[in-house]
Amino acid sequence: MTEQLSKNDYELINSYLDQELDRKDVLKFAGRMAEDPKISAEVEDLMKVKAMVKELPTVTPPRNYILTRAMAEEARPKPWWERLFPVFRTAAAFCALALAFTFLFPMFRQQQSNEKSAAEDPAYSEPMMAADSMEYANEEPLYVEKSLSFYDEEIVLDDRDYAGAAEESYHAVMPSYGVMGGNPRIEYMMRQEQNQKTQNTIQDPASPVIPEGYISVEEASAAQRSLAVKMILSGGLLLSICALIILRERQKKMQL
Amino acid sequence: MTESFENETKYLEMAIQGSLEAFNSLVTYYQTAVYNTALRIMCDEARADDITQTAFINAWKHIGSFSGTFFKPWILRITINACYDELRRLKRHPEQELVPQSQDSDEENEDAPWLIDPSESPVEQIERQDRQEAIKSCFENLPDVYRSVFMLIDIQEMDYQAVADILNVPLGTVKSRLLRARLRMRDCLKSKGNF
Repeated sequence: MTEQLSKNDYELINSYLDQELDRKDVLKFAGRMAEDPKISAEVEDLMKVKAMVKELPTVTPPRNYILTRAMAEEARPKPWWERLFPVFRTAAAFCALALAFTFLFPMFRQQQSNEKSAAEDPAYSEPMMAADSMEYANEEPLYVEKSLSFYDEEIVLDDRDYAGAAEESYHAVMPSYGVMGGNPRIEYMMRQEQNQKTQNTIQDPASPVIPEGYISVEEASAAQRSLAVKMILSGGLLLSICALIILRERQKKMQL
Repeated sequence: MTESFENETKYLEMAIQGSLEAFNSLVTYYQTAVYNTALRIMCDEARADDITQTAFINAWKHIGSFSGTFFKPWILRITINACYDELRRLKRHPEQELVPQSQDSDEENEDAPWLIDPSESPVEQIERQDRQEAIKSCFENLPDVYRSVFMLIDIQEMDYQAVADILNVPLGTVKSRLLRARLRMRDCLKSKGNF
């Protein structure tokens, strides 16, 4: 390496070439360059070297270096709250299904209970509808005797004059009050049905009488438990949905 | 002064917050500079390719700690550190190429069609190719630390202070290394008859 000038001079030359000198130093150096041919020769040489290096072509990269999602996640794992997204999604789905089940299950159970009571209890009979009772009233009373004897043994019919005896007996025992078009037979049967129901409850000392509009202690406890479960599931569903919305907003902010 | 593309600050902020798309916009703009830096330091295309990818992955990994204004000095710093790490590894475990490249091979002297100046005569083309080959050879023969400084200032056109920050050395060291690199280049080119 040929050094004709001092190291300080060479550094000044470099700085001059790279425009790193301030205005005052540039003027001072320009003066020295004009006076000293060695300095100007060196400036010319190093300027040529600088220009030749710029001739090196810029090489186009062989491929694109953008990062894929997999590479990005491997280099920088997702924050903990973003990894909870699937958990909240599953929790929301579970709470929604469980909540729907808590509403539907009692309805199914009630329906099954009604069907079972109707099939098993021989004393139970559905209240007679007005249309049915009217229809029944117009039919010939073929089985009046048996039914009457089941409800009230005091009324005894004459077999020979079946229909007429039945009517007279009714009028004698149970005058009509104008219900059901004044048919005392129908009125009697409906009252007997009501009485039977009342007797059924009185005859069973194991089951307490619950006034109308009230429910038993067991039913109240079951209702409270059901309400608590529904509230917990609703709260869980609401929290999961809120968490999902917040996480989704955060993800959106991070995307262009 | 460091060049930057439009909305670089906005993309930088989004990348810091975790936007991969914003980061990839920065990658697309600066990958040529990063690749050429790695190539000039490593003097090997395959290694430059690996180092470029490694540099961008490391940049994504540590983008949260970025606190500067411009992305270029920072990514070049990561690139040069990756290059130095690789050079140190190669010095500890030298590798033998399976297929040695022939010094007399003409393949590297062939320019891509778009680089050929149609106004040049064949003689001028050959002279230009010889000159470029000589420059490349002298450049690659420089010590690693001189080559880094030379490349950042003369090829990447960065200022002294930015280079000092990238290489994590004092400003005087940058000036000294640059001087020595240029003087060596001049002597090498003179010896090859291309100066």
